Amino acid sequence: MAEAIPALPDEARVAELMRTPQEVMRLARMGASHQTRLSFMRAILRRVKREGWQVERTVWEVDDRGVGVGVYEARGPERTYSLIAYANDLPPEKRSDRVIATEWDASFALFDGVPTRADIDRLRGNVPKQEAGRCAASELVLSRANRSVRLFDHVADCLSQGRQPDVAEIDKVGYLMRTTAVYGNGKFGLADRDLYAARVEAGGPFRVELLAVWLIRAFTVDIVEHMARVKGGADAVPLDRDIRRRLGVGNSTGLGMAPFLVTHPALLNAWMTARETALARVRALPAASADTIRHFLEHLDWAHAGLERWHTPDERQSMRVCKLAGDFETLKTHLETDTLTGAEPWNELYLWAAANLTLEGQEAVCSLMIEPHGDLVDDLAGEMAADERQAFAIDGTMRVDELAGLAARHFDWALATDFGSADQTARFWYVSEEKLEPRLGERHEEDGAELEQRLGIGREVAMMMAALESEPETTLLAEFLLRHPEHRHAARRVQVAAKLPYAEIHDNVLSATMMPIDMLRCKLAFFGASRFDPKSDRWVRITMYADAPFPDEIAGMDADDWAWPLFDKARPA
Amino acid sequence: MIVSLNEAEVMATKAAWGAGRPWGLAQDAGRAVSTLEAMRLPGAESLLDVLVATDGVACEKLRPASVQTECWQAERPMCPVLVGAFISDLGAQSEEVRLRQVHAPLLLVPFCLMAFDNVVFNWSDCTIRSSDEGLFVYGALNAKVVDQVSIDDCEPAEEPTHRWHPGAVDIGDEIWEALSAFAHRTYVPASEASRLKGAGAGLTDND
Repeated sequence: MAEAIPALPDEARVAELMRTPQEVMRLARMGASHQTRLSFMRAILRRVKREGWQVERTVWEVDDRGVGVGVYEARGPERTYSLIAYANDLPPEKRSDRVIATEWDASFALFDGVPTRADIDRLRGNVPKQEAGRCAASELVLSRANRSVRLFDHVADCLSQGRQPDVAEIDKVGYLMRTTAVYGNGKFGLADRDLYAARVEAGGPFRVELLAVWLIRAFTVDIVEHMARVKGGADAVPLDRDIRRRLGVGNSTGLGMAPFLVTHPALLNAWMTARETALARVRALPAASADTIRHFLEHLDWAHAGLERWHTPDERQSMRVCKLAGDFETLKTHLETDTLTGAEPWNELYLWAAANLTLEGQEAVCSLMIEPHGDLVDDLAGEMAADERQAFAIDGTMRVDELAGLAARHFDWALATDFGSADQTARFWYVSEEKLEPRLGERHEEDGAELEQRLGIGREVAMMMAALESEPETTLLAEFLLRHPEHRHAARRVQVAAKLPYAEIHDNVLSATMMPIDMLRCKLAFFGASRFDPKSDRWVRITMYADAPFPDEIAGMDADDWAWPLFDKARPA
Repeated sequence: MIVSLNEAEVMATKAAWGAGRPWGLAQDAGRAVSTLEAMRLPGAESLLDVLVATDGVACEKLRPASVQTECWQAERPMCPVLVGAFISDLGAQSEEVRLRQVHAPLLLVPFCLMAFDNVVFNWSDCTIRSSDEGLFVYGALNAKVVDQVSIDDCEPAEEPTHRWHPGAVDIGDEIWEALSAFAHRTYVPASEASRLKGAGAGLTDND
């Protein structure tokens, strides 16, 4: 069933109210991103609910050590996708959540269709090896996870003794297992995205990857209940549903993910455009209905209360969460006088937030303002896919002076940066021989900068502009690039930026002060992640699907009411 | 080696970069290989031929000395990625092209498909004609160097022999390994300092 298309606010006014790339594409603001109702996890669960998907665990062959396999079939109206989960008995010394580990507590493949016994056996020899194994085009996703030993053991012990685990303990960690990579799009022999991009349920960004994660969440509870039964026999009890729902799936994400936003400009543009359009549509509404105001205030309360469960030992982030709580207080006080009854009340609120709150607070308010307006914005969730090939071709018939003009307009921030200064080129991105993973080096202290990945787009453009100074204005770009192929990348990115306004990060990713976690957080917020818990300036732990319905309850629950949860309110079961 | 098209593209891009092509041009090489392999044409092998034959040669020696002349040529056989990128950059302004001495001319094909609506290639005893649905290929594809290539506008071929199919492709182990060796040049060896600074270095996951 298609989503209802509501009357949109005045299009010209929406265009006027779009925040500019100069404002939005700064790392500091991107690093304060929050999930919204356009986030991918939320779009997936809305579809699963709307289309009445059925999820069934069809195989459970796990022994008393917790070793074996489980299969979860997720049946949609057109197709079935199956999570195959291989459970392992991992010695503690092998448990590392770095991408470089070689063995995990569990490993997973999302299979396209229903696997045969032969598929399960074939993948048993490959999936647990992850990067060292091979998948085939019948597999869409490859992932693995380790237990949060502390919480897993606590929950297994409690259940085995016939009692429920301590909710405070659950909330302290938030998940039984955390994934350390979720691979898709052809990695390690998996299906290329082109094979399923045209499917309505799988064509959106990261749809199959995050469907797999939702099913992994169900597995993490099944395996802990299994271990409790092994231990406690007839005394063991299943996990209470309301407690269970507090659990998400953890994830550790490091530098490997950081370059993604730089190397996928068309996709980044599509995500940002959708979110910014949603915000602008809400801001352009001439009035607010009593119902949306009530909905907004309710979610503000939930978001505020939910900060209690955002634990991070990271000093910087902890301070930011603290200030966010202060922002919510300030906002509530403001809303005692601003009752959202004036003209363009959401726009007024946005402008107030921009002037009075921290970046964390401003971006949280954006998400909260979008929240009650599903009818107005949910169609945008279907416009967040992009094919990088569409923006790849270079128009070489352009004169170089025209290209220089575009560069001056769209990369003004880069052209104002002094790339001659040590601080502005302090870092270099490279791929390590040892782990084949993206890494960040210190240019002035470490070797290897000659093998730098060209992610510093701003500097690339500045170098091209310097070369163009000695070029006649009328030279065709094609001829310039034939003689100077070293500027091909910069020329392409300038043309992309001219077509796709939100394609580029407007900050220098080589600078000494750049924080890779800002890039990670932006991407993960689009996924729908929450409770960002930075472990350094270059990796972060998050929680996915916390408080969301499980497969066996989504039919009877609101599929879209979990991102700002309130726990003391009874939910329909 | 059975690989996804994405893996083929990533490998080709890295290999081209490792062999000295600039980053942006290496991306073109990756796309070209993926396009050919998606039609089950030997794109990876063609790229390997080019990289082996031109290893260590500067780009300026691998491009036409002049594009004002009727027939483009250099002092030595040209790189089809450099020439192809130029043709695709010109797009619809490209007219008939005559080339003398080109490595692995099959790699010109994906670039010209971006520039021309329909195009016919001729070299040695090989003819390739495009259509809306794929390519009609006649003759031997795997020429390592050819003396002359002509590229012309044409009517679409009626029945393509090669159509675009997404999905896994089989690339010979030797080809894959040789490309991997070029790609390997782009990796930075680990040092004590880099290990200590790695993403999650020194932290345990037993919590």
